[in-house]
Amino acid sequence: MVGVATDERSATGGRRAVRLPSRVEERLWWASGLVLVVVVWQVYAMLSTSSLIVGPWEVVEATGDLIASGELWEYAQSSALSFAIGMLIGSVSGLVIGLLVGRFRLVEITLDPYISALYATPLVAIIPVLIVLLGFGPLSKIVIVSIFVFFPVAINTAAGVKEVPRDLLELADSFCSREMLTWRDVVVPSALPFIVTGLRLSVGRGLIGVVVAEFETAVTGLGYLILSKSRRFLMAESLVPVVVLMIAGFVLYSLLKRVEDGMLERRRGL
Amino acid sequence: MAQIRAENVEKHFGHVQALGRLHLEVETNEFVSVLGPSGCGKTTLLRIVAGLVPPDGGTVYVDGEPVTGPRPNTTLVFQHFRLLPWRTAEDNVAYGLRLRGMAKRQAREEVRPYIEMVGLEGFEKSYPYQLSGGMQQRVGLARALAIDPEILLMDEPFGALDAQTREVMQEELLRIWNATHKTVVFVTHSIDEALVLSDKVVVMAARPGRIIETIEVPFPRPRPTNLRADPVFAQLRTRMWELLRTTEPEETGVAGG
Repeated sequence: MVGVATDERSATGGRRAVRLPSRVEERLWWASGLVLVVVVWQVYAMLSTSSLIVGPWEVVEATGDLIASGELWEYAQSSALSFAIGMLIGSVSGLVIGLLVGRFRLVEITLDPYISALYATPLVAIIPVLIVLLGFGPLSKIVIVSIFVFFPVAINTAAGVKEVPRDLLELADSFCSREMLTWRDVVVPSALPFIVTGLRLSVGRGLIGVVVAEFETAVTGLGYLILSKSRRFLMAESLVPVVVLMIAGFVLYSLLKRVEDGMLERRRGL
Repeated sequence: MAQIRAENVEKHFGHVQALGRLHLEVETNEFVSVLGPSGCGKTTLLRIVAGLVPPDGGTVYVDGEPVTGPRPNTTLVFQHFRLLPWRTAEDNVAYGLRLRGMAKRQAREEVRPYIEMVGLEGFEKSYPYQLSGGMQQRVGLARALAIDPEILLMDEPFGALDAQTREVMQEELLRIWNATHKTVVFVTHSIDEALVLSDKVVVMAARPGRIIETIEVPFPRPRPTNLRADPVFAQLRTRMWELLRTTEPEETGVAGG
């Protein structure tokens, strides 16, 4: 099954009881990990004789420049807008199709070959084709992001709907619930952690979609910014959008992970 | 006329005959227990009466009408509670009312007496995972009562509880039944439970599932808590024990699930 949440923290395998680190200790190690990598990177950049190797400090400086010139904001806005609209369209359609596939066997049989095949296809392969069809404007980007987002959401939603306990469906039956109300009360809430997992996995794919589409269209967006700066060997400046994308992806991913953990918490022991 | 009448009810699962031409009558406001060993088809019978599964032969009539599906005047209480894990206790109790189109706030008001009746005060906002098994079944019971059904079908409702909680819940159920007087069909494999609770005990045997004896329970209501000390209780207990043992020597059906 794709993208079912697992808890890595539970994977303890020691023979004897290990003292668990305290909260403060954990934070400390987490922060040192961050600092260590940045320091090593900085030292390496300073020692390197190549002008193409830039350190974190230069990236920070370049960020300041790009903010000051208004470039970063303009391009980030363009990417964010396409990403958001694409996310919305892709996840809503993924949700609807996933619910139908999960609940109705005949829909599943009909659509499954397409969904499985396309999910396994490296979707970047169709980007050039789509751009030819849809042009160099935001429409291409939105469609590409939607397609990238659609599959993880649809597949996880379908898996979640199939996992809805039969007992609870029978409960709904015994209370004479109508189909639509069973969806509201039982099917959707039961599948919700799976749906959120799908959304979480689709964030990364959506960002890939946006950036690759911007590489191809080369008109605007963070992808274009990376492309144009690196082609002029402005290494620090070309890394700025990369960091921005990384932070955006990380924040969205962590937020959804939190939502998911909260939901699983409430279902513990049932 | 009996409120529930099962006529010639048959059910097969593959080659196994789960129920064979079974007859059952339950009067209005009567408390009937269906007692039998595991696998005798008692739960299947209950599900057929509930309209959740159709019989392969025969008909169940409720109030003279043939059962074709779940009915609004009948509710079930399940062995494993079947609460919605994402809803609080009070919202689980309000489930049936919400399905009937009542607004959330009003439904919460309406279920308050039922929450009090089953002793859930103070736990209204708890989620099922925060409640013990006994408390979860109180929610299940209140949920069934809240829609004020005429018929309550209970499928080994205390079977998943520990012995002490079980007895407490039996007393609670007796108290509630005395106050509300529903028609109850109560499936159990515990002889004591059947005797303590019922007006009538229907003893079933397996393969094919059939009723081998119907025993009237003579104790007056409300029943004393020391009912188990009554010599008649011991006599009836022995008789049912014999019945279960002669039909199903390898599964005497007291302890198992």
